[in-house]
Amino acid sequence: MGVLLDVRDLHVEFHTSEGVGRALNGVDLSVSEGQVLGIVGESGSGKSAIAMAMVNLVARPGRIVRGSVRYRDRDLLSESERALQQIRGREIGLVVQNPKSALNPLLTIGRQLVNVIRSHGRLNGRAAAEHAVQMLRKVGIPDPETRMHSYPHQLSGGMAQRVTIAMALSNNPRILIADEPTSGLDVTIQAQILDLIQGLVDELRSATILITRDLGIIAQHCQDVAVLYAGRVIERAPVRVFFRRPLHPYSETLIKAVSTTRQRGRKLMPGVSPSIYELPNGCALSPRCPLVQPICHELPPELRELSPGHFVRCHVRAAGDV
Amino acid sequence: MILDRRQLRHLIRTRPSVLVGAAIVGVTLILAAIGPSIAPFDPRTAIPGEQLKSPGFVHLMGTDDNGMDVFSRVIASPQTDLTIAILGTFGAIAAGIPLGLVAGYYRGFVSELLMRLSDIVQSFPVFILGMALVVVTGQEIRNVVYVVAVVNCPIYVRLIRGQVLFLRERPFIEAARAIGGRDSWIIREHILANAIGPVMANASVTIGWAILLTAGLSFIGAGVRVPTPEWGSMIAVGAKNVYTGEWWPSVFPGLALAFTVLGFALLGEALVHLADRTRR
Amino acid sequence: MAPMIRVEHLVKHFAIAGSAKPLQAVSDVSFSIDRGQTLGIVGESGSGKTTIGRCVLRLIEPTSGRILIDGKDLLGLSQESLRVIRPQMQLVFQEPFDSLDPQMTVRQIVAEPLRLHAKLSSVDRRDRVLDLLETVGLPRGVADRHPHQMAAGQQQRVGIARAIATEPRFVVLDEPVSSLDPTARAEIIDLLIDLQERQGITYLFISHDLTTVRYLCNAVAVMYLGKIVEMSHTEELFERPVHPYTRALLSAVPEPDPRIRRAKFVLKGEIPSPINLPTGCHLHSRCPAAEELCRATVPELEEIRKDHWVSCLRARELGFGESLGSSSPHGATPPPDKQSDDLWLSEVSSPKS
Repeated sequence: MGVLLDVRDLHVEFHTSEGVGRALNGVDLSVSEGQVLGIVGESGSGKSAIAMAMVNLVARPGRIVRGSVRYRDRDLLSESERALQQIRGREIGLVVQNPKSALNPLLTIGRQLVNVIRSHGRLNGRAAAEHAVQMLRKVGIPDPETRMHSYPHQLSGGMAQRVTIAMALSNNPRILIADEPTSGLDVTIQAQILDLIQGLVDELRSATILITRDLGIIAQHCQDVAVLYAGRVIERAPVRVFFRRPLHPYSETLIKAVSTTRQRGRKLMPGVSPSIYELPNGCALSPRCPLVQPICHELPPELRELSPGHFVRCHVRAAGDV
Repeated sequence: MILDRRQLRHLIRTRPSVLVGAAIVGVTLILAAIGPSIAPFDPRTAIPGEQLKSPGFVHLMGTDDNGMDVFSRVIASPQTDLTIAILGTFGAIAAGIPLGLVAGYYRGFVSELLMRLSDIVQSFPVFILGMALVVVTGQEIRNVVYVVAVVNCPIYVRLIRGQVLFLRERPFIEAARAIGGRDSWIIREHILANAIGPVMANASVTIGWAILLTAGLSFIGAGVRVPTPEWGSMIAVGAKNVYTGEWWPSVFPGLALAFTVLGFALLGEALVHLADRTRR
Repeated sequence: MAPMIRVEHLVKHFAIAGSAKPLQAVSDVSFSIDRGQTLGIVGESGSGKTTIGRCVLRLIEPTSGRILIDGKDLLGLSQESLRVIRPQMQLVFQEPFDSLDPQMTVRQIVAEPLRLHAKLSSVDRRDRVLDLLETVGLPRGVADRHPHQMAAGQQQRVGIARAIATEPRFVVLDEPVSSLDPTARAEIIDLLIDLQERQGITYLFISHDLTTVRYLCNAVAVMYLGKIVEMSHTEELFERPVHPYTRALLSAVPEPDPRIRRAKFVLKGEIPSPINLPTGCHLHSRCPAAEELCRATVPELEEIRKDHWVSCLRARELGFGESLGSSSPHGATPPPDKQSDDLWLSEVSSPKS
């Protein structure tokens, strides 16, 4: 199965009044056709920057300072804005966290959807409008012909998100990047949206990258997972393997944190994620890690394949104490 | 307004003009304090026979047609202008805070009344209003201070009111109520303390404008009286000489005025920007 | 022993500008909480759960009903008497940063309730603040920091320190961890459990996060559009849910274990607005089990098993929902497809429209 998107050594920095924030510090990941990859991270992990970085849309004060994002033999980070505009929306679809902020409040959703369809040049006029109605129907919006004339503020959060999904998928993209697509939505709506995304990408055989901090979403909707901490991928594995036997100490804490069994005095990792403005030397987890060794403070560990398809970035685990 | 060193450095880096502003304001403050004392000549005394001497070593900025040394008068002026501007501005703030608090915290008739009164005051062109008030109250420095205060008061009423309206919906205000704070406690401990930042930041801008207003009123003869050194009146006195080629009695005070107002504006604008950002 | 908190027929309507109909946020809600226990109130947007939290503390004035805290009738108190007992009943907010005054230091924030109520010298107060910080797991060094200089989890600890400063007997927790990361969430919940065990505080825990509710609460009430639709002890509710809404809610929560695949229980459509409530049972327009009866008649809460209350006209026919497997994610087996509620699944697969 061909690799569709290959991210290598991605570095993103933010220059603000607080100093230089290193949001992404060498992220490597890839996704193949038909695959659903989940990226899970907490605050400060870099997950807010990664979606935009992958499509070269990092806004100031952020900057991509190193790395490559290869899509079909092209590096998206060195393409012209013009070329990128052809790719975004047509070959790579993006669904963002806050649907209302992704929609233009002054245009009807029908108009916006049609614009997206037409700007990628495949359909025009009536055909585009019909496709738009079809997309709305597909994403489960009742009475789509009438809804075409609604404005974003007239829609609920769930509806608005369906519209953005329709926009992202309207041109049958090869890749869908969904950046926390359900945060802020009610639980039952969340389930509807995730099932919708799953159904549609199954149909289109798109590759999907789903970014979230909810391990439940990862477990139920993704095949592979990459865990982000302090701007690096610290573990990557198929989902079943990951939940059965997480190898990285941080992953273990994450999974323990969402368990439903009441455990008296469960030991979670103390401390907080490091600020992106003050990353520690060596392994970013070293100030907090229960397994810490002297080498962890000095040398950042490499991502190593400790068992087939299971990559971990940890000196101690790599040393074989698995 | 919490200002730590890092933010200060960032401010300077992104808005270097703030340094210019701060420098000018600093110089002006120093002159306001010691200007008249370090002046080479007495700013209020005419020296007979020295009229309209062009700038040179003795009279750095020349003399005006009364024989008074322009340089001495230029550096003595801030004491007058700045005193009026600062007193007037603080008057505006001191009145604006309680009025703004009331207008923001208690909705209803009183609030509406205050806003309409502010509208009325603000609907007059500043200068016309200033002139009218001075004419009515008499041409004395004290009245010029009142004019500055009255003209600027609505700005602060609105500013405070806006802050209050914004703050009162914030969860931390509800939290203060939940722990048992009365209205007076909340206003004092939480609302005022949070609203004061933008107010202080705006003060610098207001002072700059107040200096300009004072100078303007003095220029048309409705402000500070001769022989008190004041840039506006100096420009007026020297205006007639410009035609005959003696530019220095008007231009020097004019430049001083322009730079000073610019300085306060630059500093003020940077502070306002900072105040806005620290609340994000 | 009488329950610590008793709420009877609580109603709250908000008048809406430009609309004749009020927003019926809470309609006839009753529940009680025993001392030292935790009741979870679960719901989505429009359920009224946040409003209940505010009403129970009388931060919002209820439209009608009775609220008894430790036997005292809360609604009968004057404003001044209310202020005096506020130290007994506190609130922890959803957004940690927003609930803290940004220009105050941590010390000032935590000291405020003490300044308002406790008769302590400033030295004693200082010490008490440091004790409180320690109790909530914060290092002394944060005392002089401002909220924006701390991580969200730490900010919430400050919020908790403030809430327990006056040793309240009752604390309303309004989605205290919803905005936090999973690890911070777990730490804060563990802290809350610890505090409850040590100080015997009674909690009302408002949330939409069922996983956390299951972990923390002794009893749960599920709300939909202002009414309690099901209420029971936690395990009973999670193991044997009856009400369609409860089942939908439970099945919608993605389980953090890929081996557990829950049968999907889907409600059609979106949550209606609390201004234009549906007639009869509020859920009827979305419920796969709805019948003519449901449109016309308003259901009441009935005790269908000991301590298990359900408000559904078809409760007895529908029976108990699928078990959600054992609570341990490590030993879980996927639930069998054939269930005692296959009546249910057939309803789902051939929806009435």
